[in-house]
Formats: sequence, C-alpha cells, structure tokens
Amino acid sequence: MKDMRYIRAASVTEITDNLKKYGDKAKILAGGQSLVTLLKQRLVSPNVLIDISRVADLNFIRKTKKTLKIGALTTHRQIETDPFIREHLPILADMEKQLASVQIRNLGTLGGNLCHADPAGDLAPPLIALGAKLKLISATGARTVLAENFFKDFFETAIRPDEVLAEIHVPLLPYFGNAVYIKHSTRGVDTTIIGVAAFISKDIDTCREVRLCVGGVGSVPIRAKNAEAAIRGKAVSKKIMAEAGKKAREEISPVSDLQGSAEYKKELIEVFIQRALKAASKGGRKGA
Amino acid sequence: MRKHKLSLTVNGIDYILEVNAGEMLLDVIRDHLNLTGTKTGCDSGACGACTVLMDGMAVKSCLVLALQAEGRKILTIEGLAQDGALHPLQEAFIEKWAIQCGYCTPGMILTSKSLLDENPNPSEDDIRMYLSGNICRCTGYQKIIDAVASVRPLQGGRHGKK
Repeated sequence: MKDMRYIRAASVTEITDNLKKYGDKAKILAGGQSLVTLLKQRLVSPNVLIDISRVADLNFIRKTKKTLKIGALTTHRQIETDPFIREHLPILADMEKQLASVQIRNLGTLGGNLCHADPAGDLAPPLIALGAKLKLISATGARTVLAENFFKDFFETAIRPDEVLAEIHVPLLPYFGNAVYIKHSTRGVDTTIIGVAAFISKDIDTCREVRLCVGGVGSVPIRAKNAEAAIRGKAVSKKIMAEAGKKAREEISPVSDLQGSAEYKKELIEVFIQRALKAASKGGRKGA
Repeated sequence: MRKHKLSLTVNGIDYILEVNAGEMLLDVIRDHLNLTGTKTGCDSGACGACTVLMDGMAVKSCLVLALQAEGRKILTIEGLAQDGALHPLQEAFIEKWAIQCGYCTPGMILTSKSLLDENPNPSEDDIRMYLSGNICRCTGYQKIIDAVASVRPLQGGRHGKK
C-alpha cells in the first residue's frame, strides 16, 4: 500500500473542510470493512485518508414522528441489535443478521456500506423499498437524495468529492404496511447472489402501495416497477404474486458473473419476488 | 514513509508505537509485538483466523488499520490465560478435541468469547450463526460447536466464573 496522509477528523466540520481541501485525492474511512480491502488490492490509492470513525455526531439512531434518522457511522451490529428497529423496522434487523459476519458488522457502518455501492450489497434494497433518503453534507451546504437515486453504476454513487454521507432517513412503516428482505447466497457469509426487498401497504386485502427492489442483478439495485404495477390497487393473491414474479423476470436483465449466470438469475428473480411478496403481504407487524 | 504515533493496549500492556498509515492491526500485533498467536489467513476478512477483541468486540484484525485501534484495548489469544490457568474456552477446545491443525483456533476461541460475553447461554443455532465468519478446514465444526456449548453456565460450564 502506498504512503498516505492520515487525518483523524474530530467533527463534521473537520470532515467537510478536509474534503474541500483534498477533494478526490482523499478517501473517507468509516469502519474500513470495504475500503481496507480495496486499499490492500490497490484498487484505490488515495493520497489522504480521512478517518471519520470518531465523529460521535454521526453515530445515532433517532426516532422522529414519521421517520427514523440514522447517523451514517451507525454500525450494522447496532442496527441488528437495536430494540426499536427490531420491533418497528424488523426488515432492517433481519437484513443485518444476514449481512457478512459478526466481526464485519461490529465495525462496518451503514454510510460506508452505501458509499461503497457494491451492487450486491444487502443494505440498499431494503432502504430503497422503504423509500429512504440520504443526507449529504459539504462545506457549502447539505442536500438530500432518495436512496433510489444515489446509486449510479458499479461502485459509483451520486456523492460529490466534497461531500460526506451524514444521515439516513427511513420512513416508519404505516400501520397496515410491512416490509421484508430475503436473499440467496452459497453460504450465509458469501456474496449475495440475489437480494429482494419488498414493501407493501394494504387496505384490508387490496394493495395500496408497493415497492420492490432487487440487488445483485445489475450495476445498481433495481426497482421492479412493472412487477409493482401488476399488484398496485389489486387484491393480493397467489395469482397476482406469480404475475408480478413474471413481470420482474421480464423487466430485469441480469448479467452473468461469478455468482451465477444471467439465466439462473432470471429464474431467481421470479422466485424470490414471489417469496418476498408472500412474506411481506402476511403483515402482522405492529404500527410505530 | 510517513510515521504515525499509535498508542494502544494489548493484553493489558500499554504500547506506544510508530506505524505507517497503511499498516494493519494484524501486522502490528504479529510483527511489532511478536504475538504470533493471531493468524494471517485469507487476509481479506473472510476466514476469521485473525480475529481479536477490540474493546471487547470481535473484529478481523486484517481489515483494521492499526491507526483505527488508537486508544483501544486489544485482547489476543495470548492474553486469555490468567496466572498460568487456561481460559475455560481453551480447556473446552482441548477437552472436546475441537482442534486439529490449530490454525483457526485462536480466532474461533476469541469469537466464542465475544459471543459468551454478550449472551452466556446461546443456543446451538446462536453459536453456529455467531461463528459463521470463522472458517475451519479440519474438524468439521461440530466439535467446535460442542466445545463452545459445553462452556455455557446452564450446561455446568465455567465461562464468566472467576
């Protein structure tokens, strides 16, 4: 690994000031669980490393009336074990349980995971299905983007070199809403082959709103919008779910990679969309 | 190479060292402190052989920059025995034949310690889930699970007892 300047930021201002100064010559180090592997493989070689892990202002889980605000430095393990999240947004705790290993979850942060933008990442699909927003801060101001619009390409995001991801805003589930994340991988700790997040809200049996997001099947997590359209406004039945599975299979064009062939992934999309919808439409969760 | 000052505590001893920004905690433990009980395996965060406890939390030291450990308390396998007496987990691994080549053992034992510190009476499933980030290529895991399970206080084990 080449020589780097190492800066341990003590505050959000110190982060943004250093980003303004060094721009794309710098890389932000949060938990390091993705970045360190890239550094070791020399896939990235920044001149400056800005270690933000000690900025306590970016580590929090805060409930407001309709939104859960999560600081970008909150670790996967904190999400997995948080009593409020387990009760009111169990999709996130369940997803974390399936993400890498406990050692990685102890240090890895939500912000780091999202900014790494691995297309097979487990965190993005649930956040997109829930309609989460990301707050980005720079020395000149702040802006908020939908999680769905954050991912631009393989390992590329909408973040500018002078910005840091500061907060994740997750809408709480409506009373008659439910969300689940299911995934498939060879072993639990291996790379995700496919991950499907489903959010659904219902009036009795009729689907009022639905969002489906699939990870591992493209350069970014993908909304299965035709599948959603097949269900929205309809009574949620086995037949409708099968129809949605078929639509998702048609509208997503996965590429073959180390995790599986395009053909295999097409099959997985159809099956996992149905499974996710079935699990999500069971509902049965408590309102926030 | 630019040198950075690093203060940390390893197995109860305070150290002040000079490291490069790109140096890993694993390499500092093995090469600066000569504590070679912590093993280098995949060197990419998959196998768990390099697991140490940082402020009580299991981490993969091959994925932690040494400078991230500034001010932290590190526990390696060498710090587990007290006054010449093996830790109950170490005894259990011997008693249950949970060791073959031994390469994964330090990581297995430290990850297990972290589990039992958090949850003294895990189910067998809990143990399997918690150890899923530690790979063993010899024993087939069952004896490792048996060893950890035997240390649970409700099973008459001695974990957590002085």
